[in-house]
Amino acid sequence: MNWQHRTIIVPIDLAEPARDACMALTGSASEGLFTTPLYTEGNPEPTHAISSGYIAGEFADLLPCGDQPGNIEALLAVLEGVEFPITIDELAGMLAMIDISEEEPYAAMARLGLSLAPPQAPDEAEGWPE
Amino acid sequence: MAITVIIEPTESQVFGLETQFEASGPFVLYGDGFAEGEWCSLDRLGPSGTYIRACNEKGVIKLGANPNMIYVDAPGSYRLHKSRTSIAASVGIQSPDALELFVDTDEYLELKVAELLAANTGIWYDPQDLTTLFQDAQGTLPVYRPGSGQVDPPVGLMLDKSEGLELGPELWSEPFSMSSWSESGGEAVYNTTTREISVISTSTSAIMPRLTRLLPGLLDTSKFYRIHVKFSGYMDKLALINLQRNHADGVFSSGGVMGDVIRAAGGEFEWIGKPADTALCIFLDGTTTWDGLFIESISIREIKGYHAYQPTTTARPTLSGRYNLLTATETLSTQSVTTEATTYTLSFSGEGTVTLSGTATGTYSAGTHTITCTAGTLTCTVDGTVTEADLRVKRDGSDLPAYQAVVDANNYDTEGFPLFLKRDMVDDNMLCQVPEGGITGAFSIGTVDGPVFGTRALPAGEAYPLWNDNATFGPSTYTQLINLNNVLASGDQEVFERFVYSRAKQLIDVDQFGEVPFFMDFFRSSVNYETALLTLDISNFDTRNARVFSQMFYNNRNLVIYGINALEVTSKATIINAIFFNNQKLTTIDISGWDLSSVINASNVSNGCSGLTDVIVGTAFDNTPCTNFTNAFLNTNLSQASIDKILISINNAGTSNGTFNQSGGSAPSAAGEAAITAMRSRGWTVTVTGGF
Repeated sequence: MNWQHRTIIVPIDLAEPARDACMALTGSASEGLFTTPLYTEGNPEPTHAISSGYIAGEFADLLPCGDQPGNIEALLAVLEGVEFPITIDELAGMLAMIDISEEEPYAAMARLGLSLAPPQAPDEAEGWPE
Repeated sequence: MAITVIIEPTESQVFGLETQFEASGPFVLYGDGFAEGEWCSLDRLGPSGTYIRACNEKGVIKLGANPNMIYVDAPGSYRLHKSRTSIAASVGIQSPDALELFVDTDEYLELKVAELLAANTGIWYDPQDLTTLFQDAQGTLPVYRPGSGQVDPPVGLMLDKSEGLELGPELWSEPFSMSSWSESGGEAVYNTTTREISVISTSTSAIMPRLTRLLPGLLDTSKFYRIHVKFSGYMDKLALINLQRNHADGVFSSGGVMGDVIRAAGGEFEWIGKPADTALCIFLDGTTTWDGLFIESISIREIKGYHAYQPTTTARPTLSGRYNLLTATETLSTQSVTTEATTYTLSFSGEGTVTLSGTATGTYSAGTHTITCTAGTLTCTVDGTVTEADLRVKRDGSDLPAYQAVVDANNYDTEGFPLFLKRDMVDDNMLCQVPEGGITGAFSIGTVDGPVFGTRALPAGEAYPLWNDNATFGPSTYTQLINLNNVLASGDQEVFERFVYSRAKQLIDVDQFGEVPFFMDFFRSSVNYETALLTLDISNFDTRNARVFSQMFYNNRNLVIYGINALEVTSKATIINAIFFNNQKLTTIDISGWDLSSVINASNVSNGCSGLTDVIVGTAFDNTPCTNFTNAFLNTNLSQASIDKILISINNAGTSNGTFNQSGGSAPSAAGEAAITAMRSRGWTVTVTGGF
C-alpha cells in the first residue's frame, strides 16, 4: 500500500459533506474523518475539524496539497463513478475551503491559528464538579 | 572455573520467587538468609516437557536448616521456587560448568505473563510482535518492519495475545449451498458437487450478482475471524468476498477482500474479518455470463481475544522504532531537526565537529554530550568528518544501544530498539470489544519514556484500550498494553512489571519519564471514563524536568494515586492548573517541597477534590508569581489549618490583583482572614468558605 501522510483541516460546516464524499469513495475507512473539532482564539464554538494521518496514495494524488493543485477533474470522475452527487464547481469550491498539507497536525494548526481546546477550557468552568 | 549465579535478594523477594535455569553440569544450590523452616523446591524438566520434583519426597530443600546447601549431580533444566522468607534471602547456584539463568530473560518473563493472562481474563497488545499487527482494520495487510524502506506503517488492527491467538472451531461446514442475490439483475449458481460457480444471467454491475451463505448463530459481529479461501479457475470474474453488509450504493461498510488481491495471491488468501452481518458473500462480475470459477476451500475460524481496530485510515496509530532524530547518520551532513524543550544526548565519532544553533548552541567534538534544547528547530552544522551520529531524548532509565543508524525517515536500524505504537494526539485511537462484565484490574502501558502501572476498569462493549475515547488524552507511545481482570498478588505484580520494563529495554531501578517536559492531559479522563481509572502508582516517575502539569490527573473521580510524593514540581514548571481536578479520592497532598517560583497558573488545581482535607504547604507559595488561583480549592474539604496555611503562604508572595476561590471544608481562622485582608488590599479577589 502506498500510504501518504496528509493533515486535512476543513471548516466545520464542511466536515459532514467532506466526510460523505470520502465515504462514498472508501467506505468505513473514512467514517471517522473530521470528528476532531478545532477552535480559533476567542471563539468558544469549533470553527474547523481536523484529520491527520495516512491516506491511500491513489486518493492523495488527486487532492490538492500545499502548492500542488491536485486533479479535480479526475477526482470528480471517481466520485461520479460511485454516483456521489456533486458538480465540478461544488467540488472545486469545497476543496478551496479545505487546507491539505503534508505537515504534522500541530504545525498545520499553528499556521492556521487553530487549537484543539476551546479558549475557555472546561477546567475554567466554575463549580463544575459536584 | 566455577560459575556462581546469585539470585539477589530484594525486598519483594521476601514474598517468594520462581526461577528457571539450565545447568550443563553438576551444581550446588545454597541459601543465605533463610531461617529455620524456610525452604526452596527444585523441579527438573522431564522428557515429557513437564517439571518433576528433583529432591526429597516433599520436594523441599531445607536451605535454612543444616545443611544449607545441596549438591545436584544431573545437568538439565530446572525450576527453583523460593518460599516466602522472613527477611530478604538469596539463593546461589554454583557450578564448574555453564549456567544459564532465565529469571530476567525476555523469554522467561513473557512466559510468566502469558501464564498470568491464561489464568485471568485480559487483554494483551504487543506492538513489538509484528505477527499481531495489520495496516488495515480488516487484517488483509500485515505491517512491515518500520525503517525498512517505507513510511512507518499505520496500524489498523492489533490482535490481542491474551488467549494465545487461539483459533476457534471451524464454522464453515461442507457440503454447503449458496443462494444468489442481486439488486441489478443477474443470477449466479453454485454446484455443490463440482464446487463450480457460474453466472447464468447478466446484471448491469461488475459486482453483482452475489452468492451468499448465511451463518446464523455462528458469526458474532463483536468478534474477529480468520478467513481462508482458495479459488481456482476463472478468477478474473471474482469481484470481492467478505463477511460484511453492503451499503445500498454498493460500497462496503468495511472489510472484504477484492478479487484482484486474491488473484495476486494465486487464488489462496487469508485475512482477518470482523463481520457486520451473519453471511459470507461472494460478489461476482455479472456483465457477462460465464462459468468455471471453483471454490477449492473456505475456512472461517474465530481468533479468540479482544482485538483492537481502527477503521478510519487517518485515525490509525503508526508503528515506529525510531529514536535517533538525525538522518544520514553514518556520515553526518549539516541538517536541522525539530526539538522539544527537554534534554537530549548527542553522540558521534570522527575527527569533525558539530556546531549547534537554534534551540541549543555549542560546538562539540566526538563523544557523548548532554544537550538542553528549547522547543523549535535545532540546526546541526557539521565541520569535518562526523560518523555514527545519534541525537535522541536523554532517558536515564533506558538501556537502548547507544547508536541507531538512520539513513532517512523510512530507512533506519531497529535491531535492539523496541518498536512502539505512536499516536499523533489529534485523532489517532483504537477500539476493542470488551466482554460482558468489563475488565477491571491491573493494567500497564509501556511507553518509550517509561511504564505506567495501576488498576482500571475497561467497560463492557466498545472500549478504547489506548486510554479513552478522547484521542488527545493519555500517552502517545506504546511498547506494551496489558489489562487484567484481576488485581495481582505482589509476586505476580513484580513479574508483570519486570516484563513491561524489559520489553522496552528500561531499567527497573531507575526512575522513568525524567525528560518528559509536558504531562498535560497525561492521565486525563474523558467524560465517559471519569470513573475508570482506579489506581496509579507513580512512584517510578521523575518529574523534575517537567514544565507543564496541566490537567495531568484531570477528572478521575475514583483515582487513588500511590507514590504521589514522587511528583516533584521544580522551578521549571510554569502551569499546574487543574492537575487534580475532581480527584475525589485525594485526601492529602504534600506540596511543601514544590518549587512554584515559575508557576503562573494554578487555577482549579484541586477543584472538586471533595475528599481533600489536608494540603501540607510549608512555604510553597511564598515566592510564587502566580495570581491565578481561580477555583483552585472549590468544592474541597480543607481543614482550617490547611486553608490558613495556603492563604498565608500566598499572601507572603506579596503579589497583586489575583483571584482565589475556596468552597467546602472549613472557613479560615483569624490568621487566614488576616492574610485575605492583606491580599484584598493589593487588589486580590478572594472568596472562601464562611464568606469572609
